[in-house]
Amino acid sequence: MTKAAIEFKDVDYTANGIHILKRITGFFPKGKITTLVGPSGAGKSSLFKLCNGLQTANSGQIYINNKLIEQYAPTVLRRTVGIALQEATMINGSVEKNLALPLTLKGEKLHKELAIELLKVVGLKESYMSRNTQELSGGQRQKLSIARTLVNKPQVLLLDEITSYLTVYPSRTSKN
Amino acid sequence: MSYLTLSITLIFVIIPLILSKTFKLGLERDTIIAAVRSIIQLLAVGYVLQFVFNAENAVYIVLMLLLMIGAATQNARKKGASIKGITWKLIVTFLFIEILTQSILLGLDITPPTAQYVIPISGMVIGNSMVLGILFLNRFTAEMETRQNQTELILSLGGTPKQAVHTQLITSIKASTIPTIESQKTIGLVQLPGMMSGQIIAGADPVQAVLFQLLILFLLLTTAVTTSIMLGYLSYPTLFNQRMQFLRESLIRE
Ligand SMILES: Nc1ncnc2c1ncn2[C@@H]1O[C@H](COP(=O)(O)OP(=O)(O)OP(=O)(O)O)[C@@H](O)[C@H]1O
Ligand SMILES: [Mg+2]
Repeated sequence: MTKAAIEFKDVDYTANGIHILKRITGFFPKGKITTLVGPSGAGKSSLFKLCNGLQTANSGQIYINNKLIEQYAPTVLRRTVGIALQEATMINGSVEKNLALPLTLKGEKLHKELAIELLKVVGLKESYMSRNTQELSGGQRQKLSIARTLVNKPQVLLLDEITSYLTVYPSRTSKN
Repeated sequence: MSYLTLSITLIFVIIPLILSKTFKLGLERDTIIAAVRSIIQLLAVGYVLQFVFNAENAVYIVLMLLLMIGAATQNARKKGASIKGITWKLIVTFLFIEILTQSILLGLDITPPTAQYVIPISGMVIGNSMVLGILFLNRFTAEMETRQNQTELILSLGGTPKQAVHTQLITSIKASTIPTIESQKTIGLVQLPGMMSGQIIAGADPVQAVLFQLLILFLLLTTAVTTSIMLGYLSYPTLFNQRMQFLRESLIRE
């Protein structure tokens, strides 16, 4: 099991009285792209939020790089397991401001070169940098959301519902 | 003014009653209730105040202030869209503002430490603090609800709860305090403040009344800003747990 980036053992998750995840056991291997497929409402987003620590399972264990999720400080966990949330929410302002957000939260600045490179990685033109995010299309917002998550240099990258917007796209560990 | 004069002033209650009847406005019942309630409540307050003033005992003043804080808390809790455990947060806020303003007023010898000053000023401070609290809480819970995704986004990127609520908190603090600040810009131009009018009618020198009114206005600036900020910083941690997860259910909706 040393090769697992994320491992689940009997994970159960209930929210507002709705049993969303039942006894999930399995793993996402390290260094690979894993695709998680399931019908709408199956619980994919919920499972991802458990891994990123936005929610906590009611029972069972989740290991990130063989370490129990509870042993990570929440902010460390969230930077280690990056997630591009399904909604691809943007904060008010420019593409650059959104891209810099993970660093702003740490009190750091985003270097121009890195910003340009990240945009290129996800297939956005450099000229978008100063655009307001409200002018972006759904797909462009998804791309920016991924680039933004990459700013934290996560060891595991979770991309939620990317395929509905994007054509095949290389990543680190898993996506819907 | 005597009770006889007061009974004559009931004409001003009878006029709307007659108008309501003539034009079938259906306001008779509420008008009567309003008139009766204001007579009873204000007279009761008057007698209580008279008693407190005559007693010249600090215990009664403190009791009176606690009563005001209790009533303000009760009202703000009912009318402000709520957050878990809001009661004690309101009490702490009102207590803090009362102590802050009175220690400045009394400590710097701005007003004398008598019931005649302490109680009415406290009433205005606590009353305004209550209104501000209601404004702030309604706005803050609304902001938190509409911006859940933003809160979640910031947390998901490794932000702290404080960072995740920052925009919502600042927006709500500003939105709730702006009316107080704005209303002071036009004060006196259209309407004389009620307290000042009262003092002038009671025979005070208009300039003295104005100076006193200014003191109250400045007090209310402190009250407004302090109330919103304090309630905000006391409230937002309740919306998260130890694992820095946002608790939707802690926003209690009517
Ligand atoms: N906070 C919540 N409270 C109650 N039920 C929830 C909550 N979050 C999700 N659910 C329910 O849990 C189930 C799984 O939701 P989830 O978003 O994980 O599905 P999904 O697999 O990502 O779906 P989709 O493909 O449509 O994105 C759904 O039935 C949803 O209604
Ligand atoms: Mg989903």
